[in-house]
Amino acid sequence: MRRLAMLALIGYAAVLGAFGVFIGIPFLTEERDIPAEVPSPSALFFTSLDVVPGGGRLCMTDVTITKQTAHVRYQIGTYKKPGPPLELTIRGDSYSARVAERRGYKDNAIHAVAIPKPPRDQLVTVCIRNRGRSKIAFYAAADRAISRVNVFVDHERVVPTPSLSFHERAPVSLADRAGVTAARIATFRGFLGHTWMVWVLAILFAIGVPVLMGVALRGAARRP
Amino acid sequence: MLRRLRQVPLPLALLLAVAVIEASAWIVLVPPLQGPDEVSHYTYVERIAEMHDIPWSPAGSSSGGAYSEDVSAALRAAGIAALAANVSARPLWSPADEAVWRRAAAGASRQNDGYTSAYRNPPVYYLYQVIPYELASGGSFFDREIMMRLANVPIFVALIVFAWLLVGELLGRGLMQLTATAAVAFTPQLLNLVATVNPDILLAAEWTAALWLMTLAVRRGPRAAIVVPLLLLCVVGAFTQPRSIPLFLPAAMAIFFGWARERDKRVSPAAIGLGVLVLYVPAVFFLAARGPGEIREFGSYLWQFYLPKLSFMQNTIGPVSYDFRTGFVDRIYGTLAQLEVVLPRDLERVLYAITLIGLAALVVALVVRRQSVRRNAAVAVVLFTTVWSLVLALHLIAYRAMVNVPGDPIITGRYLLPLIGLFGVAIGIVGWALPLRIRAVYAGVVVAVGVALQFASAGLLLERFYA
Repeated sequence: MRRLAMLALIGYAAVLGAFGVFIGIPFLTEERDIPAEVPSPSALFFTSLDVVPGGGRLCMTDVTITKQTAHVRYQIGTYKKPGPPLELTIRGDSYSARVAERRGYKDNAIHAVAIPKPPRDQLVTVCIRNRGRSKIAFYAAADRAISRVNVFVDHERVVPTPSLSFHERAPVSLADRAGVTAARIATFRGFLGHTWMVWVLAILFAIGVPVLMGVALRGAARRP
Repeated sequence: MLRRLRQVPLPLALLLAVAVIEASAWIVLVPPLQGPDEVSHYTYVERIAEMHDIPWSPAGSSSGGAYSEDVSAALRAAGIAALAANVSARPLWSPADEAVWRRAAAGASRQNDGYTSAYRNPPVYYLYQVIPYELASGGSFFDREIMMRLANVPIFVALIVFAWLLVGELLGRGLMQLTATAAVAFTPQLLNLVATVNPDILLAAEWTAALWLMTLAVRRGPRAAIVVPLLLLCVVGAFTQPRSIPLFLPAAMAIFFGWARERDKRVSPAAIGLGVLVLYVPAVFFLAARGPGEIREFGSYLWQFYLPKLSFMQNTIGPVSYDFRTGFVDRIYGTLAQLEVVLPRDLERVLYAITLIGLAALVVALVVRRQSVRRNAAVAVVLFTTVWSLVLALHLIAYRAMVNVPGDPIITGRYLLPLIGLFGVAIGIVGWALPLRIRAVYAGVVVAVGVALQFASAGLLLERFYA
């Protein structure tokens, strides 16, 4: 019976060890473009457009920016013309940023604009002014992916919510961001919404499950 | 009570502890309302709890206001709706987001008199879920949602206990009992349902219990202690999900075989099984052909779901690429959350190959152990009938739906979860046919693959929502 238990445990440990070395560790340490926050995602079924005329301005309120943010991304169509100059402003309780974008960017380009890091997570208003004469259009969602942000073009409310996301300065791994990720998972989890609970569950899942199953295998192999 | 708990075998106790851990981890990891149709199922429970109304004869379309203000606030202000199946979206994950939602949800009504697709379901699971809903009724929407998901954990634990009993009854105690039950407990799609408000998890538990009772009924005779709970499970199953109705057929066969055995009546289980098949299949084809359906089209659909299209066949109804592999295999091991969390293609290919090898190994194992199978022919016929009667009924339902809306294949891997106990049994049978030492290594490898699948699934969910 002991020999059987040993054989079972060898098979078990070999597969799990190989999984950990060849899949688990590379997965956790691979550097990725993890968003800092996606306040307004891309459309799911149909892309909509928020058209901003020359000299016009698009603003989004109730946008959350997180303290990991170093870039903001959005996508703009220029109707096959070189893109006009833009001015991006972001304002919150303890944060303010103003960045100018030069003319000449490509049609349908995804813009990644560097901005100063905010001191803390907060709600901000993001505005982008079209400083040229030709119209531009923000890629937006009016289908199920419509977000909660309020969108205004020249003070007039519009429905489609432009795709807008905040990103970190450089790619990071899940292992680098373990603490931040645990806190993010704990958001909107009701009475389980505590970072320490996520940690306890993660440890039980990652260590407790394989250990307990190893003990169970040993016990089962020793049963007549 | 304590003495009874002490009688629980250590491997089972450890497996149940593991099950509670993995269920809790999934429940926390999967963002709220991101399970299949979860918002619809939540709304059903909310309606019963808040309006004291069971929607027995629902009508209407969900295009109007299907959800209460409370649910709508979560969908919009907490970003839940925008996240659904949208891989470019991430959950809103900062305290500032929670503050916005709290503002939007303040004073929101929980009354809803709209229509949502879950209302077509019978109420058993939803009545059960009213208990956790009420327990958390003083809290927020997310308190209730999490509490309702946690209420799936006892169902999951019960399912594992019944799978353990089923495997133990068929294959005996020891390593294979743990291996087969662990294979059940580590199935990713099952955990996807545990982490979701959805009646399919209760249906899977009911069927696993019924499979065990059917085995007992055949082997020990139709005693009241077996038949009454079995029939109760059939009825409760039908009131959990109409997909459960085929369960009556193998249950009746099991009771008949048990009765015949007790009275020493000579019956041929194989002949009876074949007879039932001969009656059932034409009935299914007849039902498929009613109204706008066609026998040929249904037959062609069935063929092409499992086998390559033949030259004289027209393209199958529904999505052409949707077949046994994509509909069943890929969706048992993966296709999590709202179907958008899929396994990497290479892993899908490997798991498909393992599944086919496993099915071939099962056939070989049954041939190798044919004497034992022959001795248990009645049980084998009942269990085999359970499989094909459910699968054929699922195809019938899917075909009837596709006749009207061909774009949605309807049938999916999670609909097979009522048979999850037999998935474990199949894995156990393969090991049972192996020499003892190889069987031990096989057990270790199968359990490790299960644990690895759990890690891989958690990693995919982490990547989808938080990376």
